[in-house]
Parts: sequence; structure tokens; C-alpha cells
Amino acid sequence: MTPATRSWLHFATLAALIGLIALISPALDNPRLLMSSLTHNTFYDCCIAVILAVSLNLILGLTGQFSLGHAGFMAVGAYTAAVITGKPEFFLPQLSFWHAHLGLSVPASFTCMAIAGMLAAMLLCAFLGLLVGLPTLRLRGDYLAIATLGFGEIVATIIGNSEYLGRTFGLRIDNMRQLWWAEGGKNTPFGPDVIAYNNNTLNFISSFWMLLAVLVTILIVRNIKYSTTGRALLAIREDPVASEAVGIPTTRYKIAAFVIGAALAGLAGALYSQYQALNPNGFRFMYSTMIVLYVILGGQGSITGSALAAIFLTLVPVIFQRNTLLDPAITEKWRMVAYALLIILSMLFMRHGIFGRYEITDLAQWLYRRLRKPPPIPHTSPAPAAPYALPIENRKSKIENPPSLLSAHDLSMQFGGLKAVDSFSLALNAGELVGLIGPNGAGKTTVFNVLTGVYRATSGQVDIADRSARHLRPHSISKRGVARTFQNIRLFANLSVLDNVQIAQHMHHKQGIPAAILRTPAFFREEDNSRKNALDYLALFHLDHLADACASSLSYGDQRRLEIARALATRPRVLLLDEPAAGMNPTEKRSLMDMIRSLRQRFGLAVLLIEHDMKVIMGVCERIVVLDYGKTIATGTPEEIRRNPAVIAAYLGAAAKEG
Amino acid sequence: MTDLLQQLLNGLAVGSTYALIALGYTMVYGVLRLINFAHGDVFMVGAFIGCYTTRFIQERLGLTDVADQSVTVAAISMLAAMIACGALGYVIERLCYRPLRKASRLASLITAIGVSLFLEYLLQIEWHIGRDRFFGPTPTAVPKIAVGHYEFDQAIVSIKNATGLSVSGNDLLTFAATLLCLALLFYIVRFTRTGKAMRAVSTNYDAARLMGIHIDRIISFTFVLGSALAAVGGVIYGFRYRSITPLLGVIPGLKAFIAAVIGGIGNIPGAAVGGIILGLVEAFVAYFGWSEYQDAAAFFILILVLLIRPEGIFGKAVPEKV
Repeated sequence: MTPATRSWLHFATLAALIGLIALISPALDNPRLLMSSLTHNTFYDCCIAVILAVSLNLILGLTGQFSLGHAGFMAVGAYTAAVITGKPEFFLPQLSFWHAHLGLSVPASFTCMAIAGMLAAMLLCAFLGLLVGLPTLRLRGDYLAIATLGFGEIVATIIGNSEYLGRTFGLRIDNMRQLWWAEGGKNTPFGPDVIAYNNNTLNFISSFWMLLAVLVTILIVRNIKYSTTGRALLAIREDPVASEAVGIPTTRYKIAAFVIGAALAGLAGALYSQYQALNPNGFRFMYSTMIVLYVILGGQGSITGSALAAIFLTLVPVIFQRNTLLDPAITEKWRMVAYALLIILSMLFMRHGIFGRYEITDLAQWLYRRLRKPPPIPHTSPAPAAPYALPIENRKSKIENPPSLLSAHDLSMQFGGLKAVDSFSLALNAGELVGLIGPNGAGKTTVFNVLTGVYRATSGQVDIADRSARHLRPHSISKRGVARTFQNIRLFANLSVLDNVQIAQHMHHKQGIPAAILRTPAFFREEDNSRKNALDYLALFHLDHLADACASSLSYGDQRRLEIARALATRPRVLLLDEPAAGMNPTEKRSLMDMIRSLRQRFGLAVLLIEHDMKVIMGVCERIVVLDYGKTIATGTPEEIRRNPAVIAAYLGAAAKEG
Repeated sequence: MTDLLQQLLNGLAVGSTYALIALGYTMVYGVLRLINFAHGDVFMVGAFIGCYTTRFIQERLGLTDVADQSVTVAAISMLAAMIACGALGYVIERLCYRPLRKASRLASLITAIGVSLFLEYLLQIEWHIGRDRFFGPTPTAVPKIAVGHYEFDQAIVSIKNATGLSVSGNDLLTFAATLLCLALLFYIVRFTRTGKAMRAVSTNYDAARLMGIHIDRIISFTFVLGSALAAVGGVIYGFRYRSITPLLGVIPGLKAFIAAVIGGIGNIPGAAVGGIILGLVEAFVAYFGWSEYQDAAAFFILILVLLIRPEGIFGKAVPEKV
């Protein structure tokens, strides 16, 4: 299928679903057909719960950020919508505006106002989400939990103290409208016919709007999940440091997810305000925790799971209450105790929830594959390296190489009293293979961390292609063409091998969140390309047959190779390898070194290599830098280094020099 | 002026309570990097146990006259609360946090929320034993404590006629208990073997284990110690406000956490200073007539601290190990 067809198919499915909702919602709304008035509100409650659960899943499940203020955002949304659609002073001029200038009927004007209220609620929540997220999301996750918890409490406190918002007595839109009706409604431009509208027509909300909101929420979160953005979010959840290293601006994405989640919570609040009395104390910590429970019970990252958990946990108390004669005040407490136990037990025994991060569609696919035919026998022997069509940029970079790709000048890094790196200087030219050696604790990995922006150098200068890079964050350095691997492998362990490499192509994706949500043809085209490229990179390392395997299930050597493949997929000009051959046997080491040499040739890479195995270093490097206690004690060709007395002293001790 | 002084004094007393709770937060965070959300509720349980022990002793001994209700009874209650809360802290750690030590930090954080809710709502269910009602959502009255005919909630140093300033016995008790606990904690952490082990675990978990430190025992000890301190705070809170509910730990717990962040989480003197600062700020807010917004002010400070100096006053920014 071409990308354009798939895009059209996506829109057609969406249109069909909206049509379906339009078809069934009148039946749902008709009390004689399906619902009594009590279950009507229960149905709405379920919809609201689903929206809340799915939107929190974007933050907590996919991105792994713990927000405890989701109900706070809901409260903001609810009160914003309530003020816009229900407060007389807003109500009167707006209603007459819609009525008089656009010639809309009264119910239609109500609908317009309600939609305006919803949009305003979402915008305000997004803005507040940005305000809370900006200071906290650049810090460790714990702070977000506390800050959002505080946000929810502040919101409830402010509303509870505001006369205008009805303090804690409860704010009801339909009551407000009736009041207005009784007092001033007669004097509106509508004239006397307005009396004909009864309370029901005053209510905007219907199953159609509810289901539409649910559909939109699920669609947004699902489309983000299955896109380059979604992969980036999962990567952040798995390992923020590695995500930065492959060029993902983690803070920006965390904030984006948080803001979208907050806006959707605002939508839920706006809908809620249309049929329920609002009381600020209802939106406190307890409610936020319940939404957290939906997500962790259903599965962090699973839209299906969290939606089902939300519906289940909304229905169970209602059904229970209807079928028992117990005092609701007491059962309410027991319900909370049960929820608390559920949270603890699911964390202890079922950490990934019921669905993990899988969806009902994944399950269907798996079943389909299972039923169709036995799975093909995996060809374990790697296919011979065929000429793969790798991205053109890499070959291009070979031509327009600036003289010095990466240079460090007088770089120092101080930790407290320890000078881990002391005036380190290095110029790495295109196509060069330089070794960085030294005894344990000499500061080799610290040099890598300073060069890639993980640590900020205490003093000195880092230039990438003759532009200063000292103050750049790791993802920007990756963007400038410097990729790295880690000494203790940092793969996205719970994601597939293919995902690991696709994530690394993130910064070469041009289609952002809007395109992902809308599923434009360009989006599909880019996805196809990224997948094909990723498979090519895997094939280079003979890992393509493992594309669907979980990264943590790979053997140690394969994990090391995958990490190099991942680093290459960022299309770097400089590759920093931190002990790539550690734990490999001599044969594997030899083939790895051949690999590195050929990669360098093919992509015109400059390589900086940390390695302990002298045979490897001496055999492959053109130039070697030796560190000891943070100081550069020697630089030169392998031959010079081998004979350098200072190096011998550092490795074998001073006695060797004297003796 | 006197109003301000009086408010500052109140702030100091409230801040001391925050400091007592914050110590437990900061110790657990230092050792496990876990925000123990249930800590505020351990404080609440402490208040209840103190209250019920006092009541039990008074009833058994037939102490009805105020003069009989001596400080000794209060001291015994406090000891009982410390032991019970220490045990509770141990059980929580053993059952809920230890199995998750290898899991992601998010998992233990969520579990902590669960434990907190569990305690809050379990104690909201009323129990009837004989004629007596235990726990439940309605406030429970706490007996007074007294020495001779002096009741602790009366002003002890009253300069009321001149300036209107007054200090109650409860205020003094709060200060004294806080200072004593701080000194004790400081001694334990600085000068004992266990304290040294605690510092080692908080600096480097794995290295400490390799050095032969019994990690599980140290972590359990940390929880027991922190919970016992929270119990002291809880019992004093009960005597001070004379009315306790199962939700009383929520707000002080959160504020104590904020206090710990202000001082630099993981840092023991920082937690004490942070508690006092927060108490004083709230006193100022109340002085200017915005007492409804006291809680909001605390969170506002938190966001401010996170913006300006996320590592807190005494904390050091620690680069993440790569």
C-alpha cells in the first residue's frame, strides 16, 4: 500500500467511526431504548474515566513521568468550561451573540458555547501544563510527582476560596442556567419563544459528544504512540541518558507529552462540568490517584488496558452499590482501601499491568499470525553482507569533511576534590581512528561524557566542526554528528531490536506530532523509510533476523553490536566507542575491529576508541592518547606509545621504569 | 508587632513538627532515593496511638482529675507510639518496598502512594470495641496533659498584659522534643557504626554492600528510626491540637517533604532548617491575612525552589552516573 492510500484509509476509518457514533448515540440517549437516567450518568462517568486514563497514559505510561495532578487539570478544565457556558454574565451576551449574529437556534447556540468552553479549557490546561512542566520536567521524575500533586492542591484551594466559583458548595451549570432563565431569560433577544425550551434542551451534553471526545482522545494518544514521537517517548521511559545520546531532546518531549495529556484532562473536565455539580474537593489528590490506578492496572503504555481498567473501576462500585443495602458512606471507605491494596499488589506482582504496553490490536495480530500458519523457521545463520542502500547523507559527508571534526582544547572536569580530567586536548580529523587508553580510573569515560555533553566541563573548550559545543546538551551534540556507545551497554532493553535503531534515526525525522496525529501521507512515507533504513543498519551487523526480538534477549556480543548499529543510525561523522570489544572472545574482537575499519572507510567516520585490549588498540589505531589520573601522559603512533617510558610506568608501575 | 512575634512563634512550633517529619523523609530518600509518601500517615498513626495509650492508662488508673494526668502518662504514650510506629515502618518497608528495590523507581513511588492511601482509608473505618469507638472519619478527642494543675495548652510565659505575647507548654514541648530528636539523630548518624553504615549506603549502595554492610538491616533501621521520629511529631501534634483524624497526616506530610526539598533532600540538617523555614513562611502568610492560602504557599515555594535551586539549600548537585 502506498503511503497516500494508507493515509486515506486512516481518514476513512475515522469517518466511519464517527458515523457509527452518530448512529448509535441517539439510541443510547433514548431512555426508553437503552438507558435510564441513572445509568446515563454512569455511562458519561465511564467516558470521562476513559479520557482521563488514556491521557494520563501518555504521561505516566508512555513517557514514564509520574503526574499526580491529573485531577487538578481536570478541575481547571471543568471550571473554565463551567464559567464560559454557565455563568450568567458570560452566558447572556454570548448566547445573544450566537443567536442574533449567526441566526442559530437556542440549542445550537448552546452547543457552540459548549464547544468554545471545551477549547478554552484545553488551551488553559495546556498553558498551565507548560507552566508546571517547564521547571520540573528537566529534573528527576520524583519532583514532577510532588509538583503536580501541589498543583492539584493549589487549584482545589483557590477554587474553594473563590466566591465567584461557588466555593465548596458545588457549581451546577444547569442550575445556573435555570436561574438565569427564571430571572433574566425573558428579556433576551430571543423573545417569548425561549420559554418553550425546557431543561433538557438546555443541556448540551449527549452521548454523541461524549463518545466523540473519547474517540478523539484515543486517536491522538494512539497515533502518537505509533510514531517516531511515540518511540522517542518510550525511549525516554527506558533510558533518558541513552535517549539524549541518540539525539532525542528529552526535556522537550517530556513537556510535549505532559502538555498534551493536561489538555486532554481539561477536555474531560469540560465535559464533566456539563452534567455534574462541581466541587473543588472532588478533584483533590484522591481522584488523581484513582486515575493513576487506571493506568497501572491496565498497563503502563496500553491504551486498551487503561481504558478497560477505567470502565471496570467505574462500573464496579456502581453495580456493587445497587445490589447491596450497605451504607454508602462505609462502602466508600472500603472501596478506597481496596483500591489502595490494588495499587500495592499490582506493583508487587503485576508491575506491567494487565496489558503491559500492548494493545488489543497487537493481540489480534499475534493471534492472526498464530492461526494462519506455523511461524517460519528463523534462519540463524546470518545472510552474507549484501550491498545495502544506506542513507545518502553518509556518503555525502565523506566529501565535504571539514578538517577537524571534533576537537577538545584544555578540557578539565572536576568532581569535588577530584580532577577526573586535567587539560585534555585532542583534534580528531575525518577518517581518523584514534585510541584512548589508560589504566582503570584514568578518566577515559569521563572524557567521553564531557565530549558528548553528559557532563559540563569545568573549563576548556569543545568544538565540533570548528563550532563551540561546550554548552550543548547531549542531544544537540548528537545532532552535530557525534555518536557514542556506553561502557556498560545502555540499550532500550525492553524495546525491540528494530525499535532501538529506529529511535536513533529520530532527529532525521521531519514529521512531528501534528503529522503523526493526522497520519498524513508524508508521515507514512517517512515511517517506511525509517524502517527500511533501520533494517539496513541491522543487516550491516548481521542482526536483521533478530529485528523483532526484545533487545535485552540478545547475547552480550549482539547487544554490543546493536549499540554500535544504533549509534551509526544517528548518521554521525564522529563515533565514540567505549570498550566495544569488552567481553568478546578473540575471534569476535577481530571481526568487530574489521567491522569498525570498514565502517570508517564506508561512512568516512572519525572514530575515537576506548579499549583495554592492547592487541586491538595497537592493531587498529593510527594514533593513541594515553591518560593517567586525568592527565595526558603520551600521544603518538602505536609504535611510539609502546616504547614510551611514561606509559610503561603507568601500566606496570614506577618500579618497571627504574628496573 | 506582637502579632507578628506571636505568629513567628507559632511558625516556629509548626515548623518544628514539619522538621520532625521531614527528617524521616530525608533519611529514607538519602538511603533509597524513594519518596516515602506513607511517611505522613505514619505520623498520623503515631498521633492515634499516643491518644489511645493516654486514654487507656488514664481510664485504667482512674485518673479523672486534671492534676493526676501527669507528664509521665504522656511520656509513656510517646514511647508506645514510637515503638508501634517503628514497627509499622519496618513492616511497610519489608512488605512493600523491599521486593521492589530492584524495580524502577516509579514502581516504588506508586507503591508508596498505595500504602499511604491504605493507611488513610483503613483508619477511616470505625471500629467498636465494647463501648469505645476507635478511629473513623469523625475527629477523635485527645486527652489533655498536665503537670500538677498546670495544663499544657495554657500559656506558660504570658506577657499578655503588656504585649499580648504568650508561649504555651505545648510550644515548649514541641521545641524541646524537636531539639532532642535532632541531637539524637545527629549523634546516631555521625558517631555510631550504624550511622556510618547509613551514610555509606546513601553514598553508594553497591559499594556499601561490597564492604560487608548488611544493607537490608540498615534500610530497615532507617525506616524504624524515621517512623519513630514521625511518631514523636504525631503525639505532640495530638496534644497540641486535641483533635485528630485519619487524614491529618496528609498535609503535614506533604509540607514536610517540601521542607526536605528546601533543605536539600537527603541532607539531615537541611530537613530541620527547611521545616523551620517553611513554618515561618506560613506564619508570615497567615500574618498578612491569607491563611486560606497557607497550603498553596508551601507548594509555590516548592516550585520556586525547583526552579532556582533544585538541589536545595544544603544539597549538592550530583551528576548522574553514566
